[in-house]
Amino acid sequence: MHIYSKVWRRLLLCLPVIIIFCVYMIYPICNTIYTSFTRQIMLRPGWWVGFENYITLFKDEVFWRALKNTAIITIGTLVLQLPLAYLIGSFMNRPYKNGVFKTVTFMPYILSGIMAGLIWSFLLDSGFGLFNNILISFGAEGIEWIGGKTLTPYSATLVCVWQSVGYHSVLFLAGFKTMPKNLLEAANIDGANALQRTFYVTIPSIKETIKVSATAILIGGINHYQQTLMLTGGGPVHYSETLSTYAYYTQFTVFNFGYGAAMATIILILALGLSIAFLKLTTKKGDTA
Amino acid sequence: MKRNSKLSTIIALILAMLMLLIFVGCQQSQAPSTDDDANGDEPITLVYQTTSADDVITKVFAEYQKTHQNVSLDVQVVDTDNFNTKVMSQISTNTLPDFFWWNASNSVGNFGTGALLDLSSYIDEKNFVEGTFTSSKTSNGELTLFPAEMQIQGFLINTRLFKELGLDIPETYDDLIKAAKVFRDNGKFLFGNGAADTWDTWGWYFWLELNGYLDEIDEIYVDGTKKPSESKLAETMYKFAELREAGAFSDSASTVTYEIAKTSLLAENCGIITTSTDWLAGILDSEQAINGDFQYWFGVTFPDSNADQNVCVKTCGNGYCVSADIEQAKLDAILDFFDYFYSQEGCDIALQQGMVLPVEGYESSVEVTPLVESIVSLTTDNSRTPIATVGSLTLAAVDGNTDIWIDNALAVDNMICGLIAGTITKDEIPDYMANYDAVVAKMISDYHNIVGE
Repeated sequence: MHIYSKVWRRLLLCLPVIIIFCVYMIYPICNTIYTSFTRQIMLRPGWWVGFENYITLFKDEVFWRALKNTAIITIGTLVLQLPLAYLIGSFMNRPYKNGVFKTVTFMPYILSGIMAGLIWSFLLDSGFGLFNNILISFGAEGIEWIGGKTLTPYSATLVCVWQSVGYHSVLFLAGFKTMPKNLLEAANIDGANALQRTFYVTIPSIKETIKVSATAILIGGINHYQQTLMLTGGGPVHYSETLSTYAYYTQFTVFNFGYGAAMATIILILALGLSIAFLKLTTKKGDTA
Repeated sequence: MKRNSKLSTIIALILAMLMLLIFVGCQQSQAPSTDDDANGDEPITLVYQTTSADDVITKVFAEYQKTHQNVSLDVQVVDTDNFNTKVMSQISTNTLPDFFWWNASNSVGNFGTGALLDLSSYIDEKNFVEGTFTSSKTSNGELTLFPAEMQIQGFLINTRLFKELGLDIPETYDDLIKAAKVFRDNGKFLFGNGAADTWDTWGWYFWLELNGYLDEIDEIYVDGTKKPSESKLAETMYKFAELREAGAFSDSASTVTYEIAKTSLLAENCGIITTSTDWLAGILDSEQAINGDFQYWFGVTFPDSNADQNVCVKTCGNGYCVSADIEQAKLDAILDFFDYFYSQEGCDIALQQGMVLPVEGYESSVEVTPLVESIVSLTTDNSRTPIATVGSLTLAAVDGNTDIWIDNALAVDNMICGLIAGTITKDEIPDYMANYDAVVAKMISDYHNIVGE
């Protein structure tokens, strides 16, 4: 292969990206997977323990609780966010002026998860939170929205939906904009009602947008971290941990790097596996994924 | 066409070279600086890393610098949440600052990396209050840091509020239950602390100790002849549950952080918080502290317990580590500065910032509030028996081996927090204790495997 050949040139041009990808993606992933097979506390040299961390993890009650909470948040955001984003997106697509509505809907997405969590902690706290104070002022009992044994993941779902629905609505809006108008006109002429137009024309036309949006929600849900960290910090007694908050706690509070790495590997496998499975299931033969 | 292909190959080569240069540059920028060749009046810049730009070292250093103008301090501030992670990365990449604030358990836990300087040849332990180095000394006797403040663990109580509610200062656990009910009836709660921070458990550990838990440490953690579920630990857990039932804690305790607890105390929504004397920022200069309403208090005693009730948890859990790679000239400057830091003048400046240094025989020569004065006398008072924290004693039971101790480390904190928050009920205590029995049994068995018994 000559030094001036096209292949060499392409490789050389790609080299910076390849280096960055290897240093910041491949190496950390490989290192995390390797660390997950070692017992490493703090920064002292670890030693190989095989699958011990994984065996301990599968016996760990908190891990299963974190997995359950993560599942609630992921499924909750998927179920709530997709139809809500569809509705808001279609409203944005209406021909009249709705710039303020678009801005207000999108605004929470600009905030960091930490800020969103902080704002909502002032609303949801069972002591000083606004929601409970309203309930109590009407003579009702306060509810432990966050910090109790059960409601925290549902409250975190609400925060996630509030924060990201604007972004997904804009994705849907882009999908609606690229839809051929004649399809809807043809359906109208054929006498299709609104429901039929939605299910037989609109949704199939924006299928790719729905897939992108759903995959992003799925990955975001599995990696959910910031909002729960701000709402409860995973407590009390690990009742509201998600996989990511528990992995962080293990790595940077207890400094049990091997165990934390095992958890991070599980998160990676889940995010990767579920995304691939989802895309496979929603892609028919002949479609481009 | 051929000229174009040559041109693009050259561009690609330049880009690739630039990329490599950037990486090499990054590596070089991380190398420790060697610009100082300080002797005598040669300028020396000490790099110091901490969590606050206004920390005590910077205040004392400002005074020190007046007579040592060739020495300057480059303060690098890292926020508290990321501090440990940052130091750990610096240890891994050999880029530690010259000296830095750190927690003693972390400095001991990471001493094996060789990144920290052993200070045992530079510190005379006799100059410090008994127990100062309990947490910061390795099992081989190395000293991992210059000690910061002595932390005395107990409670801060608003004595005026108790008087206003017609209550005497509680002396027994039963008094506390009664006081809890009176506070509730007046729309307040007795204890401000919650469960959102799992580390602010100082006073509760003190209770464990008064209740006799420390006398059982060897049986529980060394011999394994007594299960935690059969010990005073379990008994004390039931007391937390009873206090919760009596309304001693806020209903929203699960989301109450230490900062919220402090605010509750200042707003007089609660009467007591458990705290350590080094966590009183914002309280020391409050109106109640100046008026003498706030008193540092060791809490109730447990008359049924066989344990000594006249004890005090004194521990020096933080300090200033020095990088093992430090140059001699910088080390000399640091040693000279710490001589000044622990002098009468240095201690007085630290005291004005609310930090009581554990220097043997220190008496304040500056005017301070009654609360600060009481902390100084508690620090140097030897009439109470000083004891270390449960954490350091259980760690000592496995010869400082954090690798096997780590799972046990936060289990008790979590149980206490769960009981305060109401997430763990009285009926669930046996299940939690059974889990803890298993954690301790594993720790003992791992330890025996390591030492080959």
